[in-house]
Amino acid sequence: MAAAALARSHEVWPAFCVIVALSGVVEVRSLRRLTGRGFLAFAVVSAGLMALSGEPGGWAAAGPLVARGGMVVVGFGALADRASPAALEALAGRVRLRGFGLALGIALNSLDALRGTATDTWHALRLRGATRAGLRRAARLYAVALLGAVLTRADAVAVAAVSRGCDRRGERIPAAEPATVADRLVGLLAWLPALALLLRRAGAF
Amino acid sequence: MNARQIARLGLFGALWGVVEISLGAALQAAHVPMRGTLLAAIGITVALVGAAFVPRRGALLTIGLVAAALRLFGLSGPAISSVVAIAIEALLAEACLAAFGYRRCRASYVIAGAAAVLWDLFHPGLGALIIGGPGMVASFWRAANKAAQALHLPDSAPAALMVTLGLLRLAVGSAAGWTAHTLVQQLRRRFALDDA
Repeated sequence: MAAAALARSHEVWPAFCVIVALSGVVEVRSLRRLTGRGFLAFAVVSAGLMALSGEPGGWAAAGPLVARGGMVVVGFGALADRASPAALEALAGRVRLRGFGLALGIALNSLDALRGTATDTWHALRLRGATRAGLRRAARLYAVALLGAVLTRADAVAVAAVSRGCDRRGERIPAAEPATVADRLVGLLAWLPALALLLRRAGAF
Repeated sequence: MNARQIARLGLFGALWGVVEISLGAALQAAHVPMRGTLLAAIGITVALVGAAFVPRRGALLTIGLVAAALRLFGLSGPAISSVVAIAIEALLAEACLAAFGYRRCRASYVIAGAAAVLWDLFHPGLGALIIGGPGMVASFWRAANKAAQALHLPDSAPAALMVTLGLLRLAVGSAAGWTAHTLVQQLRRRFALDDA
């Protein structure tokens, strides 16, 4: 994102090549996002708008826009595809955010239950006539009931976590899945455009 | 950090995530204006309440990162803008709480809420900066000035509009912080809760 934001117009394409190459090394699957329907639609609409705008260069002026969008999509895709909860926990541990992995695990497991609690709480308050007392009072009652339910549930989850030994200190974080030979090969191939561009700029050909 | 504190962080992060995913989708479908501001206000209220019951440095940031991670791993696919916005809002609110030395006074909550929700005004600018490059924000500003001229409005109209929108967000964020502090006090009284 920083590369996309900071690159000047003549640096956009080299930066795009480098980001694509790096993303390919980190996570090859992220490159598929460049052929996704969403990104292709963005590219076509950008080119169309630039052609209609009458800017010098016409639709070709959309190139840097598309390249910047591509950098964001591919770079973020590499993060989303590669990052696992375990990797995020390791990262959070390095910046002293302890317990992030367990908190994320609890959050992932509780999403549906919380959604159900939120709906049930609202229906219960409505049946008890809380909504007749005015929207503001109903909202306050709802917030207190829902947040109270969350705090009560947190106590139950904590007891369950302790009984399963989840609060043990010094537990090892599982290592990330190793990349296959094919992954590495595709990752190396992704470097070729960047290398070619660098050699061209250096006057090699 | 004990298991009770971690469970509270996880569940409040999940609640913020549920708000972003469920309410966010509903507001988007209904084309509600300023939905980002509304979502940020509700989310930061949840996070401030959660952080009040986990008196540790980085609690609010952890709640925000859990919510952002839920958007990252969400079934609907990662929403780049939402993930970045949630993380930055949580970071700003945490920085404000840290500036007050993590004292639980109403002022610290109000300022933290205001700072987090104010980010909603600058977030599209960050998006424009990333996609359009350094010149894009200036182009937007020039376009806004041209639009003001075409509508026969004074030259100061775009700046006045930005200031008005900023003040509106500051007011909404302050209300979110104020509400969070009130909710914390009510929860402590009603449930006789402690700090884990």
